[in-house]
Amino acid sequence: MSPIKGINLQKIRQEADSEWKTLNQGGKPRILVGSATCGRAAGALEVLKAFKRELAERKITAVLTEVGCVGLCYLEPIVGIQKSGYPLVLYQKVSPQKVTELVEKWLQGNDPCPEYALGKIEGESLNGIPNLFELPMLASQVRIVLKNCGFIDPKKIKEYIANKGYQGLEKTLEMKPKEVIEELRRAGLRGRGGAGFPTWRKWEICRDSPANPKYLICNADEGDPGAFMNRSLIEGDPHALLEGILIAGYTIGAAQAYIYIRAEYPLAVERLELAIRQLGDYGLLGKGILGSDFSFSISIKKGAGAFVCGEETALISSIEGKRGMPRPRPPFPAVAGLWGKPTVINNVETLATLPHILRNGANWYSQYGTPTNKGTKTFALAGKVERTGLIEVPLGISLREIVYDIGGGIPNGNEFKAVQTGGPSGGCLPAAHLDLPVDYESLVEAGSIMGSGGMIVMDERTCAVDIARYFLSFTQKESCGKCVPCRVGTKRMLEILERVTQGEGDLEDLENLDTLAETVKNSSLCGLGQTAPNPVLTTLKYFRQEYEAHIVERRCPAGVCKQLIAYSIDPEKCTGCEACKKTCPVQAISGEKKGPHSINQEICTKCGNCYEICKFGAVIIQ
Amino acid sequence: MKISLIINDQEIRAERGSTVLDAAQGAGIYIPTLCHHPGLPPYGACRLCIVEIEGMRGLPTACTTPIVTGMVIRTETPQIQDYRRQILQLILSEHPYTCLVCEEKEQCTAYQTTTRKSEVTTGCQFCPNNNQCDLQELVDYLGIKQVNLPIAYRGLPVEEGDPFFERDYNLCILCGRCVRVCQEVRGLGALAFTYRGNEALVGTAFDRHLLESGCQFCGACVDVCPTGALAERKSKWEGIPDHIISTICPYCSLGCSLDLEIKANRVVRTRPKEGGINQGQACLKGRFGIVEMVHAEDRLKNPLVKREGRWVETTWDLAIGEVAQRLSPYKGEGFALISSPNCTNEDGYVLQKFSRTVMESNQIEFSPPYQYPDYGRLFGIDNSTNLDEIKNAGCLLTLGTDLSLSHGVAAVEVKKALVNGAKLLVINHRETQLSRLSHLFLQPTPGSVVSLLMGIMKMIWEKGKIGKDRKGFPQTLEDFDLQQAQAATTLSQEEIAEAARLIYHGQPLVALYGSGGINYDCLYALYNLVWLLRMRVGSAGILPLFGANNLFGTCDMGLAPGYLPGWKGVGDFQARSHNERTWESRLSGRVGGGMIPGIESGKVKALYLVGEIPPLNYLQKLDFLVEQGLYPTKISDFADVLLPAASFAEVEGTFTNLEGRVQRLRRGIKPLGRARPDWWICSQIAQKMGASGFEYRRSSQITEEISRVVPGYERVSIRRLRGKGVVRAYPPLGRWKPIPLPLKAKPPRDPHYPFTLIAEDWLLHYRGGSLSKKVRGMELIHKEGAVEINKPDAVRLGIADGNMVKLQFRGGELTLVARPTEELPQGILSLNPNSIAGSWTFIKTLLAEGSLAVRIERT
Repeated sequence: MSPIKGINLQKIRQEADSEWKTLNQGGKPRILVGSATCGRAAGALEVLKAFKRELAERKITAVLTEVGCVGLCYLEPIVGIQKSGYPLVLYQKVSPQKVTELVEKWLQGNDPCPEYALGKIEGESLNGIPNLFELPMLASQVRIVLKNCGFIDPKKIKEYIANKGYQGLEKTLEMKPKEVIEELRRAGLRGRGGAGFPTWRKWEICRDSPANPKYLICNADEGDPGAFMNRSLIEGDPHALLEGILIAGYTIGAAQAYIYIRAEYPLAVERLELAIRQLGDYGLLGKGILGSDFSFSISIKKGAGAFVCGEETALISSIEGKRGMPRPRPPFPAVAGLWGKPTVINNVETLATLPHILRNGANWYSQYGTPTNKGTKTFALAGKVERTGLIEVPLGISLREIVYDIGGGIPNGNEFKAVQTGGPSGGCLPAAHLDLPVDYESLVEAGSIMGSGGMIVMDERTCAVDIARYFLSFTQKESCGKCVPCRVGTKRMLEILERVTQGEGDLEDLENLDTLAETVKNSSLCGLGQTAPNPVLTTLKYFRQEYEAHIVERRCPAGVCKQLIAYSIDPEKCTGCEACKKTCPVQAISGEKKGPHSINQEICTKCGNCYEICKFGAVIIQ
Repeated sequence: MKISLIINDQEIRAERGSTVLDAAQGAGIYIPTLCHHPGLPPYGACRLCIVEIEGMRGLPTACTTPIVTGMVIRTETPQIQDYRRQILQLILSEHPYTCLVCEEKEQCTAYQTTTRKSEVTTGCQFCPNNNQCDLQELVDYLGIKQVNLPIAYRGLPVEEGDPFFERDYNLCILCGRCVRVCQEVRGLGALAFTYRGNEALVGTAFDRHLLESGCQFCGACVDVCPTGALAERKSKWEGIPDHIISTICPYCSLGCSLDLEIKANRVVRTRPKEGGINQGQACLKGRFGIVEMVHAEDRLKNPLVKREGRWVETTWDLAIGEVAQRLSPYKGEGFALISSPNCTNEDGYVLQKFSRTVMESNQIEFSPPYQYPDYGRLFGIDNSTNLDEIKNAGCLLTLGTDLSLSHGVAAVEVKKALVNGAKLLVINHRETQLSRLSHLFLQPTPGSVVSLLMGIMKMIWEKGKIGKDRKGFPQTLEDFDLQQAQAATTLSQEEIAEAARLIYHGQPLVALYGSGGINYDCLYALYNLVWLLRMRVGSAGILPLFGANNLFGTCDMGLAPGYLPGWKGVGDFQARSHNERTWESRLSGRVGGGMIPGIESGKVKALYLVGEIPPLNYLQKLDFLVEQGLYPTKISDFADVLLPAASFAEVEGTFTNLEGRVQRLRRGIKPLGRARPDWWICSQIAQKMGASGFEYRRSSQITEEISRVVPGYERVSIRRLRGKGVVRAYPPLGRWKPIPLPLKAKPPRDPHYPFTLIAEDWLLHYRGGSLSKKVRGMELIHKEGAVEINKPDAVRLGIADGNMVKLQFRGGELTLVARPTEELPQGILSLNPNSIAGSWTFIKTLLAEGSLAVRIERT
């Protein structure tokens, strides 16, 4: 395919630019309500309704927009208000009551309500409201891929265009595909789905394969529980993904792309469908894009609820209408994939990075990360940290920085125990590894994986054995059943772990567990089986003493495994407030008002309600 | 092209494109496998064949990895063996393993030292796969003495609700072979993986019975199963056979190669053989329908003569003597012979030679009869294509055949063609298994097939602007009125045009025709269609898909009414002279007035019956009836002598299939009791009557004589009949030219006979025995002796399933059981002609016309 000459997005850009300018400086206030899935879960839709009501009642004309997620999930619902002539200010934990205040005090008055504010975007100082990007959670981040999320309307292609959108594509279409591949090689982009395979290499193999047609698949299955990086990106900035898809499709010589997205992301699907329609309307999709001979179409294929279909060959099977089971490789999909044709499968994040690389150049991209692990990576930081959310950091940053500087450390004064990277197939790394750089090789060396970006922090109240059991139960259930090691091996391993957590294990079980884990890891057909034992292997390596405590002492040091713990009330600390008695679902607690209470062990189901509710720390776990 | 690589420090050369496993096996290096099967594409699921390959990450599977020049591979490092042991133990944790690792196992096999039990399989000694099991081999190879995992027996009920084989998924190791063979080789997919992960099982759609899942019971899944999970019910406990003999199937005219597994002179199991025309595939009849026919309890074991109305066992000498004596007075037109299309060529040849040279009679027929014994007349030049070419067709036309039922293995070839992109056009009076996969399915009203074909031809003619010759047949096409075609067939112009389009653009065309609702005229029309296409492109072929295993050979041998061997007419002086010279005997040139009229009028007095005919009352008029066969039949009541014949498994000889291919049978077991081959019996009678030229001691002598005497069989000799046999040459009958079709106007429908009866033959009979009566389970799939009627019609007439009904037609009536079905369109009835007792005329008319106008009502 020859580079395209003379494409002219000029007119559209001019319109977009002028509209964007009007939006920001036109006199009407701009209100951005973060209503991606995480925002909605926190109550963003009620906030939206409140704004509509207040604006109508007070007869204020404003531009009210649903935007995506800025990544500070622990502070949702987040609302941004840009009053004309003032910088954009973001507000945290907004409720319908606060909406009334904000509208009255700031939109109609002069009080920007700094007590509710989170931060502002540049501009002059404003009542002491800090700069958003200097906040500790954001200061160490480098938001490239997630740049637009939370700041533009995901339903308007022109807002994307006004924010340097489709400039990467323009540049690409002026280059020869080989030149694009070379640029990508110099940029050193590695697959962000987890494997970290050099993207340029995969594209080259596909391009060089003689068969036709070629296909591009975007893997938006994001099956890891607790991972939502791709979802946030698509809900907040779908065009970022589409631009990347067009760039990739052009380079490998494909005319058709499939976005395989899990059906559990209905909002993301909706945003994508709209964005694709818009592309068509603007001549950026279909036959002869912008008058060139590059023709492309994008179809959406929804998943049917199988984690294994995030594995590329199982994904291909699923698109072909077959049972989602992986296929042996070789042949690799880049040589023979969808319907036997050369196919490139890239993760959402990989594709969304492309516009930036092509627009700014490989050298610019290389300034982030390390020489072998260039660029940034998004992570879903969750678990026992003060500040949970969606972050984007340069590769090579240490775990410590992420957990403490960005995440704010462990709440309630508890101790750090481990951080699990890479989703349910990742490993748990203890405190000794806190200074580990987060890059593909270092994580694997320590026994974990990068995965798609899940990062879960645990404190001393997390049981290492239980967490291994928990993750293994997920991967075991999601196993497709094709190969023996994964189908049977993970089940046998899970049975052992369950017995250990119930206090019925013996030391031989640990040896068996280890042998089984090695077998499953080294002989399984696909990545699911090959990585499922990771939580078990890392916890055995770093927290063996906990396993031994469960087996030899029949004790759970973290106080989690129900069969091994008992709740009791310290009579010294008990004030007789009766709070625990009222909250017990099985009436196991007895005691008089103002008198010490006690728990009947025979009835107690160890639900933990009393422990949670006691303000005096009188409930203890043994 | 071969390339070099190194396996275990050994330099190997293997074909480029093969896998590491192929290369290793080719060099004699053992790599354990379970999910791999040579007939199936690689799968990579059991993980036992993992190997170390320098430069490749992890442990790739040998069965899926293609070789590359210079690859360095290790197949048996201690690490790999450790993993293999672990993997096998994982498999065994879900498969009853106690016997596998028991210290006593050798003793137990030899001396049966542990207690036996029946019912659920909990160990090797109770498993039908014992001593034939891949797991046993692997346990020995890997030296597993104990399993460190808990027993996780699935505790599933054994699936016993289907005929022929059982499915015990407690033994299943999920290798996927059965799924893959059903989906990818048979193109059917009745079995698939269900559920997921550790809950995964092999099953049918919605866990229904196989009978409801479209399974055709071909047995391919049973044959590829490495464990005892799929076990053939009849031969479950037979164990390993003493020896295996390859021969040819006796049911349909495809002539598949089968292996007879034999133990103590019994056929215990039959399996398809690799390397035959069936490419290692079989159908329900050949796979599960043979043992119980050969070893039926009512097999005739001794010659019997009737004394005072009772059967008396006698010796061959006495029986032969009696036959010879009682036949002698009836030389000439007093004698008639009815042969069987199941008999070998050698049998048939000797029978007709006996009838002509010894009994001086040309009143020869075979039965069950087929309506196209004259097809040789039609297809003079060797035009028929062969089975191999079906998969290369651009367009496949099936006419009047439900080949999935009658010629199951041909359907596998059709599926291959579909995968290769062929278009399928089905013309049939009722839905078939293939019509659901077709690109176009046409159901013209019975009797209008000729109009349909003429319409298609006209459209092709016009579209192709073929030739300027407007005389003869092309003139008929020009004059043909398309409106007439539409009216007659009740199909639309678009449908006929679509059919023409599919054929025109789908060269080469392969036409497969059967006998359902088809008569001679239809055949001529089809022939003309092929002629038309050949004229234009030169590439179209016809395969007849009907007839018993040796129908074609039987006709070649001169057992079709009015024909000498080699399709020479009895009236053909030259041919007759040739035969007179070789047989050294005078031959009559008269055919006679027809066998049945002859018997009815009393002219025919003696009947030598080797085939099967319905019990006809006028048989009582015969002076002498000798019946020769495998089982007593309803005719036996009328017979005077019963001679026990040997089955196909007990003889040597040849069959000629629908391609004209002559294939050799091999004797698997000694004839049961005192049974003897048909040719031997007939030769003995001839010799007893003083004739010469019948001193045959071996069937190969007859084969040699056939090659000398029968035109077309010159190249057939025992030496040449290895492998896929020899295709015999058709006698050339002149230039290929179209046959004029009389396009007579259809007579108006007689309102007294509002229904149309169509015969469909699924070849469920062998030498007078019915498969659905003798083979347990067959009746669930093929219901015999019934007339099928469209459900709404049945409701309207108050007929329920199983009711007795009376079929009236011009010239007679018939009483039988009715079975309503949804598969027939309204106004049409269907029955299997072999299965009814009825008048001879009825059968012949029905078959000759293809359909019959009838009236049906409850009795």
